[in-house]
Amino acid sequence: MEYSEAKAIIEALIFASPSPISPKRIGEIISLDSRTIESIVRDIQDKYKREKSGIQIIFVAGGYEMTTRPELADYVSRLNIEVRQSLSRPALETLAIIAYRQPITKPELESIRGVRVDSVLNTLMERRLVRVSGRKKAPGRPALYSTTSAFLRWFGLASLDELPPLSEDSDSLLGIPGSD
Amino acid sequence: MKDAPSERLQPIRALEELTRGLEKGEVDPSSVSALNALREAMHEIERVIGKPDLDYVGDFLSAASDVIKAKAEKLLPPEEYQNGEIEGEPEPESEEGSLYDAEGEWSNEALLTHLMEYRVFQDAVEELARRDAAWRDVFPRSRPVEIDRLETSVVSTEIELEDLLSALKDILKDAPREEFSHVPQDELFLEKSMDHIRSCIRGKDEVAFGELFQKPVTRSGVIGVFLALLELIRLREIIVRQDRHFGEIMIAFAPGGEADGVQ
Repeated sequence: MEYSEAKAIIEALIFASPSPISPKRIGEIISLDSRTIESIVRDIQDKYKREKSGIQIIFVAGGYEMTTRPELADYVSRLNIEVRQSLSRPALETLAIIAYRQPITKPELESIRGVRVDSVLNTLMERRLVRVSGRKKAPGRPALYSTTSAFLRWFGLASLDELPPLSEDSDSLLGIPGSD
Repeated sequence: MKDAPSERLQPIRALEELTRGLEKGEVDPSSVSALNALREAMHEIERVIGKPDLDYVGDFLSAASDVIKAKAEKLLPPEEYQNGEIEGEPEPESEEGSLYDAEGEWSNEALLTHLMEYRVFQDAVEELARRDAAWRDVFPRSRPVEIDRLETSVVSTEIELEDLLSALKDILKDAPREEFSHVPQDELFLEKSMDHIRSCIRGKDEVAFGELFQKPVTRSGVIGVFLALLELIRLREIIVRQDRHFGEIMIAFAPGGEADGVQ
């Protein structure tokens, strides 16, 4: 397969994919290794930049996705397509705690926030930013909550590793092993 | 407070009522946002009298500080503990990792750790808020999976418990009856059945209702899987849909659920 053909196919796959498409999945379709695919995607990204294109390819939630450029948001939003609502402060607080402490139970969340989280948790579940990922082996087997890939896409994160590090001394507070 | 019309007093009376509820333990302090209560009272004051006079502001501040004090007293450790000990009594030792000491009260160390832990997340919240705002301006070419699936469910006929029960009856017809000598008391039974359903769906887009019952051939097994199905629906882990009346009932992971959960 010629380089230009592979480039065209990868561009088409990213364009047509209904959700972020991983290098591995692209590789399964066109029989190329992930490294080559990443290099070709960088080429396409450079081309869009050079041409000052209105679209870009980003790596989010473990895969490539085509999006509009943020500086064009004023124009794109005039299309009357649904613009998402910002999250409230309590929702962001709850999400942050789940993201760093997942999997976490509701009582643990409430203990950190100092207030009930039922309503906020419901909203986050409805928006598919949080899911029940299991049950804790404790009396009552409380549900454990984790973030989803929709969470990564919402905040433009490639993976949870991209979450900003918490402030100093936080590791020991959060019980992260080997941090003392 | 002098000669104030009753409508003017309502926001302050509401705050006083809240304070009384907190003090008597009738209102759970964790369920009350003092900030929201004060905000609502302020809005009400603005609505009723516009710009409040100085006397009125004084009364409002007094009622507001009572609410905050009542909430703080219920949530924070008793004053004696804040100084490290109760007069005449040694401070009880607290269990490691517990917010409470041997007397069931907050320990100083635990409270400090708790407050610091809360503070640690504030930077993360700021970063998420920044990203939340920034990524609102980016419109993806690919539609979020949840929108696609929600739209699919709009064209599906609505499934009610009755439909599921009817499908269950069909499965039960073929399941052999068991001779019960005892009632099984396996507390993990539901959990196992939930795992069974998850493993049936895993790796596929969706499975037919009947496929979930191929393994449990006994009636109790069928009932167990059915109860697990209801539990997974309740937890919003799965969605159930039917494309047409009397069509096959299909089960899939809910959007944002396990199917999308690879991170």
